[in-house]
Amino acid sequence: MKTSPIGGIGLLCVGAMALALAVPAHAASDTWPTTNKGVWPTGMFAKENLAKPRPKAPWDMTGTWTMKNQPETGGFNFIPLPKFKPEAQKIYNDYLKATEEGKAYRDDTAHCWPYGMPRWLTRVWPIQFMQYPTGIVAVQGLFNSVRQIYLDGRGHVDPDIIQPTYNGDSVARFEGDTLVIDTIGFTDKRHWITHGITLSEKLHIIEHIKMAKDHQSFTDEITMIDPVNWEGEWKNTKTYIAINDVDVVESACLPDLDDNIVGAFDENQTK
Amino acid sequence: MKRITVAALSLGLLAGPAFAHHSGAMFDRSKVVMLDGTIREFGWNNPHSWIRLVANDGSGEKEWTIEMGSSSGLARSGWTKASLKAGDHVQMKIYPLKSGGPGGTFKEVTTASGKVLGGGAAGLG
Repeated sequence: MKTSPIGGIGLLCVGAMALALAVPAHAASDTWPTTNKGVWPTGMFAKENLAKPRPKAPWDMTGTWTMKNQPETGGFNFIPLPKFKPEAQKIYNDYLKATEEGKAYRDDTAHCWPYGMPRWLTRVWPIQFMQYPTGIVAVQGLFNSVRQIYLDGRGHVDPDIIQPTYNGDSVARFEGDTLVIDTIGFTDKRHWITHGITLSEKLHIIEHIKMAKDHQSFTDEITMIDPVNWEGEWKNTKTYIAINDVDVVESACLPDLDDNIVGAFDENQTK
Repeated sequence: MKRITVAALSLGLLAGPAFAHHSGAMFDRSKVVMLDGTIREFGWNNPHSWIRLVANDGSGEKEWTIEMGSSSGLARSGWTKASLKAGDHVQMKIYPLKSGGPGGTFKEVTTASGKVLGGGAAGLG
């Protein structure tokens, strides 16, 4: 069957629309620019990168924020839970048993292992965000853990050289007035979603951040995908409130911290 | 005078633990233990401050380790790094360890000068 050029273009358009409808923009990192192998992106704060013409961001989240404790979404955890895969469920059951016995379960952060994402989003300490045209630098008050979120159009780090980390590799863009952050590249070494919930290096986190009109709060819809540990997408939304009388101060997990923190003593922990 | 009293309180009356750098599974927030003793050390620190308190629970004198929130949080509740010092005689309320060991997480203290200070509960999670 022959197709006219106009008909061909029409079919292409229909096909593209069908694809766009079938694949949500945030569904997977393959919707993001791919990394150019062997080409190093210009630094986020390089003058030539900052000076490049680009659309003005619809809002600026520079400021200090604190998470609102909302029990309906799990407060400082992520509720409801997803359907765990068998091994992840077994670990979660072991955690529940340890809790019943009055012990912390494999509490690596108590021993100064980084808590990382997504717990970075849910600590009681404030978070400072500094937004630039090319990216966002965010510092968590707890142990001053830093996320760098690139907004300059780059893709994720080349998978051949990426070093798995606790906060992952974050690239972002504005879709309308929503900031979409895509994060991959996590380490699974003593890294937990939260107590008793394990994760793998396949963890993929997509955030959709919407700023309130008065700029005094924003919501972060967090979608977590980890095909090794749970079924489908695990979604949760947290709200953050501007706090204007607080700064982030130094907070270090020192080797002798646990000598004085009774909750971290060996007798109160599982091995 | 050194003594210990355990008062069971309703769970529903207690504020839930805030979530921070480690689990709070080891603390019993349905009970308050009252301690009367002497400060050995007060650590003023972020993310956690702490108190070492020597008190007698009836089975002999013990050193209790009490966990608190951050120095920045304590400061906003009226604390200074001089609020407690070694040798001070104080009365203190804590949420104890479930294990029965000499430790817990902070609730409230009455200092040597009679001042009552709270707001220093540890963030747990």
